Amino acid sequence: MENLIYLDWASTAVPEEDLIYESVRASVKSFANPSSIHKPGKEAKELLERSRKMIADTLNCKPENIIFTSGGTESNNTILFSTLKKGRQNGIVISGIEHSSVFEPAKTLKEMGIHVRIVPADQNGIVSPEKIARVIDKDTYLVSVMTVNNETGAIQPVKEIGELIRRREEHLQKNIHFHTDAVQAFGKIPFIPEDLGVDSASISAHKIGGPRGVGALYLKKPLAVLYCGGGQERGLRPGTENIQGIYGFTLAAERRNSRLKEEFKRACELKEYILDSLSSLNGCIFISGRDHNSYSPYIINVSFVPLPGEVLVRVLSDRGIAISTGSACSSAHKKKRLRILENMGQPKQIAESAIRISFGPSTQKEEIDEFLDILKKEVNSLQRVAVKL
Amino acid sequence: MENPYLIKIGEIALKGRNRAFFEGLLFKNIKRKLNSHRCTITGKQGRYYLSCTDADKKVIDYALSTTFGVVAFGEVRKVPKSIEAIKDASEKMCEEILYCSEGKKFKIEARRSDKSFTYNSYQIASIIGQHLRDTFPQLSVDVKTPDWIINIEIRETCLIYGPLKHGPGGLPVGTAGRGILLLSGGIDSPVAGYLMAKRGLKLDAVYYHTYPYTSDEARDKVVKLAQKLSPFLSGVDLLVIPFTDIQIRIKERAKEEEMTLLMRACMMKIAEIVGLKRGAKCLVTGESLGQVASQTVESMRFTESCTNLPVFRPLIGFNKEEIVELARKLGTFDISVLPYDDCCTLFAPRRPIIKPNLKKMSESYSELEVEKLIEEAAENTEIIHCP
Repeated sequence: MENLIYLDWASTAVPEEDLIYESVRASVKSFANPSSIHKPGKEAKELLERSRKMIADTLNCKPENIIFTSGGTESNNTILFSTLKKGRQNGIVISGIEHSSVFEPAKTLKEMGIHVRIVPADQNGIVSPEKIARVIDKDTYLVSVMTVNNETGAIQPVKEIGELIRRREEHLQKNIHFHTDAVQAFGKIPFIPEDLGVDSASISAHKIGGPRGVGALYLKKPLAVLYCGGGQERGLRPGTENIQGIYGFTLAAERRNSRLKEEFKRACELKEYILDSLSSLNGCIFISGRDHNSYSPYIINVSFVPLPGEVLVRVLSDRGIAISTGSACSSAHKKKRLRILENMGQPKQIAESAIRISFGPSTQKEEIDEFLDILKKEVNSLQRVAVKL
Repeated sequence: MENPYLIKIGEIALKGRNRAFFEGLLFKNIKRKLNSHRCTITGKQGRYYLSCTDADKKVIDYALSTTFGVVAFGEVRKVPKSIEAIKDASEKMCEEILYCSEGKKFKIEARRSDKSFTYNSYQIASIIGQHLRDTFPQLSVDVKTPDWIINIEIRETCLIYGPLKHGPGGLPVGTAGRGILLLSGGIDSPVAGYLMAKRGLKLDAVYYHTYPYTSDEARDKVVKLAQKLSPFLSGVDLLVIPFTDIQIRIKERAKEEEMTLLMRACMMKIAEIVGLKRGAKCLVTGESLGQVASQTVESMRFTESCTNLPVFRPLIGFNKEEIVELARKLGTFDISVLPYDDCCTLFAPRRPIIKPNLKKMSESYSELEVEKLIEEAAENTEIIHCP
């Protein structure tokens, strides 16, 4: 689409074209199976391991902590379903604002007889570490709390949760696996798993301009999982490695992380600018706060009550602007779409009105100006219908 | 020798002098579905034979099982008029039946209109029955309560057929005139359309599109519903009516609790206008008494007062589960439950009126001053042909 203003980076980032092509070229050159012991096989293996090292560097961890997967959903599923290897008496704890790729596996585990506890977030979309610690008991095997929420941008107190979990571990004299879905954090805000005290973390390539269908799992210690096969990725994710995807992911991760601070600062300015500009509009309610320590500067969640978010998304789409309602993964399913905001205790009307504006490194100030112009006009004209004057 | 299909009809056979009209439309509707193939229909007295040289069996089965007026049908084997040939053919047919039926009790029904044939009906039945018992020892003859029957007819040629498949029954589409179906994306209205087509009504469908308040996905869903219904309706035109301006006018001027009813009133008016242009003599809705606020006696009395055409509501006495069951059989249920709303929450009152006063509602309607918008909407209808 010509003149598209793309503000839906939280569902998929605009790909870094040059890096995608570079990864295709490299993978065509090193085409062989990295498990083969002949020369071209070794060459492919070398590219794979170089990539692993590069991703590990961005996370300040060892290469052996990195397991390449098909993306965030698979990484989250791998950890959640590893519970089944631990036996039925093991329970799990998740927050109420998790992405569907954590929430749905937890639901399935519950159906299979696993004890699942869901801890809601507060009205600001933040999960209380104390509330998490309180529900951990001697049967808890896994705790999963995301780093940055995909709909509100709320940054969760992962470090504090980690510390409390370790204390509970000591008290209960057992190990608890602490997982975080860091898909919206990686490459956007500083994210070092070791510093946060997590045992595993999910990251994804297409959220940072890399190719689709690839991601990774940071794993502190080896873990028994459900997958079986040829033993690739230390047996945790068997299957011939997706070298092109993995190398493209690596290049994108490197680019994002090398410019993380500058981009973060720029995103903060853009977000402030948008919030200031929208706050005077009729019915405007921000769910994302201004504090950049508590909310990702890349995501803005705003409602123009009582205007349904999906109506606004359609109108803007016709004007060449791409934004979303809630998360793209659940846009088509109304009940699922409202789950996160309703879990936070937001009234249904605010949840139904919510739209998500998310941006990235190539978002230009001029685009934002044009977007704001159009959004204001459309909101005003739609509100004239929505609210009887 | 190519095999024809036997088609049996039900109540059409009871029509007196009008029978030719009903038969004519039945044949036309069947041929319409097989129009890319060469086919002829012959026969009389409620038994017809469809010959279609180049169509796949599945295509013919589908055409006949979706054509109202057809009560039963099945492929008939044409064999030479010799008892040996009849034995062979019966044996083959028996094998086929045993392949898909558990039943072991059978009966042979023979009819002989060509009296020059060596054996009479009774003799044919005995000979073939004996032959099948000898060939398939597990079978037994039961003339009173058979599990299945093989029919043998000695006419100009000899015809043999086993159990027939069920057709949908009813009357051929078009024999009851034309109507307009108000088709939403919900579960009920497609079923209502099916039931009225079963009684011979030729339908066009209208859908009211409120973009951007409802999505194009909601519209596509209704197109899919119309396509799914189309075989039973012998083709249908879906008329997509741009409804946004009217909906906005209602929002601007109506009392909140009256919004839905006034919207329904406008829909009736538009359906009447576009319907009359197409020769429709009635409207059809999926309403069921008391299901929602706009489907109480008082509400329907008001919405009905907005049109001079009779409004047929074939589901009026149905429970939701009964409607769902029909929708599942029809294959529309899975489409209807797709999560695309056909009405935006902005236009849905929190507490809709359930016992409206006819006079007051009529006044509220006049206050909308919506006539011009209604004419424009009818004028700007988009037509989607669903063959």
